[in-house]
Amino acid sequence: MAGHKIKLQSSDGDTFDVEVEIAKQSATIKTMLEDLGMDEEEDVIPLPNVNSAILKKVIQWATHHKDDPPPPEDDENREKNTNDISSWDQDFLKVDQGTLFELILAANYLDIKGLLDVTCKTVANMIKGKTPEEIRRTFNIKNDFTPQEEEQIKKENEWCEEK
Amino acid sequence: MMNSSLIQLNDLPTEIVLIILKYLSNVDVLYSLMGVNKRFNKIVHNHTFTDHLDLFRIVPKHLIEMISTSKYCILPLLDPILGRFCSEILPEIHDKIKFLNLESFSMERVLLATTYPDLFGLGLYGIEGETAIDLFSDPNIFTYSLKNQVSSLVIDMNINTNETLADDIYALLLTRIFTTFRNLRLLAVNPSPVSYLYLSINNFPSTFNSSTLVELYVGLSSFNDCLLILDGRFNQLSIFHVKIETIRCSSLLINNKEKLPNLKSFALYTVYCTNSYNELIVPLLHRMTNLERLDLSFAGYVTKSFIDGNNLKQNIIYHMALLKKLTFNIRSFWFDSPMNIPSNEDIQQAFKDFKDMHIISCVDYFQKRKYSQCLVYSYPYKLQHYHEITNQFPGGLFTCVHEVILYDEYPFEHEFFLRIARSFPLVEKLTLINKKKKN
Repeated sequence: MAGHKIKLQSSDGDTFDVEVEIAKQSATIKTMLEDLGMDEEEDVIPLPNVNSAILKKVIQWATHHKDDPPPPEDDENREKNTNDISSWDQDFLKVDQGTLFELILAANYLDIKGLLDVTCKTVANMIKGKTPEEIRRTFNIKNDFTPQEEEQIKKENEWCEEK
Repeated sequence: MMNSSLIQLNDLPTEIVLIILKYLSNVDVLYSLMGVNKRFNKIVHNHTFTDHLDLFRIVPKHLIEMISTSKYCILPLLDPILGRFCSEILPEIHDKIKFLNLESFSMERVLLATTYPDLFGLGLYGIEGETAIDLFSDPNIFTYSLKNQVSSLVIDMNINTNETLADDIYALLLTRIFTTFRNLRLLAVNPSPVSYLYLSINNFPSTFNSSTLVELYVGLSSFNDCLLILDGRFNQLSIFHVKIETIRCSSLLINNKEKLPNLKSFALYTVYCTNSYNELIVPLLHRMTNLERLDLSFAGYVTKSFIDGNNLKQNIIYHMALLKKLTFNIRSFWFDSPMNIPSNEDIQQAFKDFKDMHIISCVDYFQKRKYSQCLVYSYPYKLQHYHEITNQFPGGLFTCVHEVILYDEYPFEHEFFLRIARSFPLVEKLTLINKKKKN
C-alpha cells in the first residue's frame, strides 16, 4: 500500500518512520517484514548494527533511489567500470572516510545492493592508481613489515629475476 | 552534522575488502596493495588476484588518434606501473600466475621479467604478425619449458592492409604457433566480435596441423577454408567456433562428407548473406554426428520456404541425437509473392516443439523490393547488430546490440522510436531508412 510506513530503530535507540516501499530496498528488512508478518505501523524493526547518523544517511539514499529499476544480478565477467557513479551519488558520498566505511558496513548488513555497489566503487576509485605508500597515507595504514622482512622479499625477487 | 567515525579501511572485515576489490582489475589491486602491510599483502596474494593478469590498458578509441577496427585501443601500462610489475610484483607472484594477457610493446619485457612455472595461457593483443613470429623464435623468451607449458593461446593481430603479404605472414605465423607450442589445446585468433580478420588457409603449408588442439576460434575467408580446417588436420578438435566471411559454392572440390565424431560444440557466424544453406551448411552439420552444442548465426536466400522451426528440425535437429543446446539467429530472404508467405503465427507454430526455448520470429514483406524476410532467433539476442528492424519489431531488451538499422516501406510512428529506445539502451550507431512521412 502506497505511503504505508514502518519504524526502524537504530543501535542508539532513535526511531525513523520510513515508507515500506523505501525500506524494502533493504533485502534484510524485506525478509523481516515477510517472515515476521510485520505490517502494523506500531511495529518497530531494530537494526542493532546501524547507528542513528548512518541510518539517516541510508534512508536518505534509499528515498532518492526509490524508483530505480532493480539492480542487475551479479556477473563476475561484467566490465569493472567504476566511472558510472551518478552525480547525486557522488555528492551524497562526499563524506569523511569513516562515514563511507560505515555506509558500506550498513549497506552490507541491510543488503542494499545499489548502495553497496556505489560505496564500494567510490573506495575502489580511491585505491586505483595509487602506490602502496600513497595508499598508506590516504587510508592511514601502518607499514608493519620489518626492514628485515622487506629486504628478504627484495632478495627473493632478485633471485627470481636472475633465474 | 555527523560525528566522524573512527573506522578505517584496514578495520573492515576481509569479506568487505574483497567486495571492494571486485571493482578493481587484478593489476590495479596488485599495483596498489601489494606490500602495503602484512594483512593486505596476504589478501592480494590470493589466487583470485594472481591467476589471471591483463597487463595492458584498454582505452576508448575516441580518446586517441588511431585507426583501428575496434572501438577500443590496447596500450601498454603506464611506465611506472609496468616498471613495478616487472621488478617487484611479477617476480613475487611468478609461481602463481596461470594466464597472462599482454600487448605488443611490453610483452617481451614482461616475459623476460621472471619465470612462470605454472603459466598455461597466453593472450597476445595488438601484435604484428612479424613481431609474433620473431617472438616465438626467441629461445630466451619462449624457453623449452614455456613452449611445452602453454596450452591456451589467444592471439589478436593487427590487420595487415597489404593482403598478399598478409596472407604469407598469417600462414607463417599460424604454422609457427603449432610447431612452437607442442601441447596447444586452445587457439583463438582475433576472437573479438568486431574483428575483421578472415584467414584464407588454402595455401597454408601442410605443417598447419595439430594432434593436440581441442578448441579453435577463428575467422575464415570462405566455406572452403572451413572445410580445410575440418579435413582431419585437427583430429582432436572438439569445440570449433568460426566466423566465415562468405559461404558460396565453389568449383574447388573438398570433402564435406567425412563424419566429425569428436566435435561437440560448433558455432557458425557468417558475415554476408549466403545462397548455399542447403548445399553447404546442412551437409556440414550432418557430419557432426555427436554434436552437443550448436550456435548458428547467418542470413540466407531461400526459394521454397523460410528457415523456420520445421526446417531446423528436418535438416539439423533430427540428425543430432546428442544435441543439448541450440541457439540461433537466422534471417531468410525469399523472393516470392505475398500470397505464399507464411504469417508470423505460422512461423511461431513451427517452433511449438522447441520446449524450454524462448524463440522470437518476425516476418515482413517488402512490396517495392519484392521480397519477404523472416528473422528467427533464440532469446536472448547475442549479436552486436540488429539490422532491418521494421514496424513488426516485437520488442525485448537487447543489451549486446550496439548497431541498429531501421527500415520499412511503411512510416515509423513516434511510439516505434520509443520502443527502439527502450529495447536498445547501449546503441552507438543507428541508421534510419524510410521515405514515408509519419501519419
